[in-house]
Amino acid sequence: MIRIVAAGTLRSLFARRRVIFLLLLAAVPVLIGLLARWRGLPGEGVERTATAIEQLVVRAVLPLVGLVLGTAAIGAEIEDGTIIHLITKPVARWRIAVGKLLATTPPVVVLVAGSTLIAGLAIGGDRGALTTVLALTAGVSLGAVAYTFLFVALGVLTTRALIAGLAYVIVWEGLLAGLFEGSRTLSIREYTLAVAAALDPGGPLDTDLRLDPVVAVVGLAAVVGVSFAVTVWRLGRLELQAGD
Amino acid sequence: MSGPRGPVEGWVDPGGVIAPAPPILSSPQSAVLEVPPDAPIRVEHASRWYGNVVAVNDVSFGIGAGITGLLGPNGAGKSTLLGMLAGLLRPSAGSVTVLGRPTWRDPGVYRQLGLVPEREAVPAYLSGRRFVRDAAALQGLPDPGAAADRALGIVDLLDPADRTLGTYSKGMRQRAKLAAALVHDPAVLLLDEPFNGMDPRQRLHMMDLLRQMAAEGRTILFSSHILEEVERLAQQVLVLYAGRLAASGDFREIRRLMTDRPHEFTIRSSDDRRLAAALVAEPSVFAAELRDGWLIVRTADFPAFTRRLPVLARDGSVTLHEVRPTDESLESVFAYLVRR
Repeated sequence: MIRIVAAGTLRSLFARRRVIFLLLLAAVPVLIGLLARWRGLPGEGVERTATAIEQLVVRAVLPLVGLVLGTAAIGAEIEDGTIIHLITKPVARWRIAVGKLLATTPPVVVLVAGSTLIAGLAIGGDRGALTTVLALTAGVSLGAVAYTFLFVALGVLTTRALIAGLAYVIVWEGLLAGLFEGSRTLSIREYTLAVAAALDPGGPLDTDLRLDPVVAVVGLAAVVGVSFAVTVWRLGRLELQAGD
Repeated sequence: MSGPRGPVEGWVDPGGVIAPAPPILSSPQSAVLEVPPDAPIRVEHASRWYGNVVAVNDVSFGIGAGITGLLGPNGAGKSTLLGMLAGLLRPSAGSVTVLGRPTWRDPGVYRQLGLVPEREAVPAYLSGRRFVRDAAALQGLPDPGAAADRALGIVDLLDPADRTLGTYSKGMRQRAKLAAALVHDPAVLLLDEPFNGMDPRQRLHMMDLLRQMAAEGRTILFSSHILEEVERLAQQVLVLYAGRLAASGDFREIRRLMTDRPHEFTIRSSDDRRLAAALVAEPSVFAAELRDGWLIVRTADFPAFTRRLPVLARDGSVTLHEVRPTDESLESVFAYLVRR
């Protein structure tokens, strides 16, 4: 049953134009990386690679891809009313949630991890940045899982999931996390960077500002667990109109 | 297939309905009876409100096998009631069960329940076949492909089955939704305004199909705001108006009450005064008045009045220029039923 839900979700996610937008989005860091290599920009290779990936992927592409696909998994179907064809089947709500997440998470991970790996290798792969790139790819992959779970849950919770998701990324992670140290402990971006820093000790990301890696891993697990629970809970209480 | 089948007498008949909150159309046997516990559809004192707005207000009824029409004007609460029956909306009060199971928060009920929602939303990128096949697979049927083809054949959609739903007409999408709803051969079928957007041929085909399914022992409840649709299809009817059950029972009985209600006609003739004098002598007319250049006539016997009016006009050498029923909207008919 989970397989059927997942297959239907994949068809839904990739049947629309959003996939082109996402591919273009994921291609931006790669193109910039290739451009940087071609122009032969000065600077230390490892440092430049870490900064570029953090700015382009971790701060922008990662949350945006997670937001677009995550909110589309269930939220878009609630919005356009097609969820009724799934909800009125004898399928336990947790199975629907698992199917949706199984279909949505891998594409997000593949897009952002692929973007990180290719862009990172292009910028500094041959300048000693391989370990940093692999560490960032691992961190971004875990971050992608967390963002996807969070935004899938948000899509079931509110019809304004895109706006709420953008507010979280821009206001909470972008502004408040930079101003208040405490808010960093509730930031997927910070978890992502902390994991990457822990996997590349002494690397350019490994600064005093990073969260403890244990806190980061626990934080990621908590986001995944709580988001899944909220998705199942909300799906079980989802109210729909049969008519217009 | 499990679940109660075969005709069960007197469930929707006024004699067999749990008495809804007044006002309800009464009948000679309108004693308050319990709905049989094995009634496929049972609604007991169900209400649903949104904030301060009451969409369905203390409605009770039971439905047995066969076709029952849920009739009411737009905004009467039909979709909300069907939503509660289909487990899509939580009743604010009371209980709603299908085949003995509360429908809210019980996905298992969908093994025996099929829903054709009014909302047109279908995944436009899927082919009709894929859409119905997915429905069969989600029902856990052993051979979803065969079940889908069977259902598509029933609704006469096999030929365009490989086209995407986005290319279907409104009527075809409606039939695709019906195929998906009956792919698992449910005992209870709920349809919200199923004839919307269908052309006359499709409408007839759908009606034949529903009759055939009812003859096989299914319990079918469909909503409509069009009296003629209900008249042609349903043996039993529930009339919902402003969230309340205005009437329930045999359609012919309710039709008679609708016809026998007081009717008001506005008439313009060559001699209104003479015609009024002739009309007030008629037993079928209980009031006639001249107002603003019109003759307003009220009658309690619609058929007798329509037979006598031209006769009286001819006998009095009065030419009828215009005869117009003043308020024949379905809404006013329902309002009358509620007031009774």
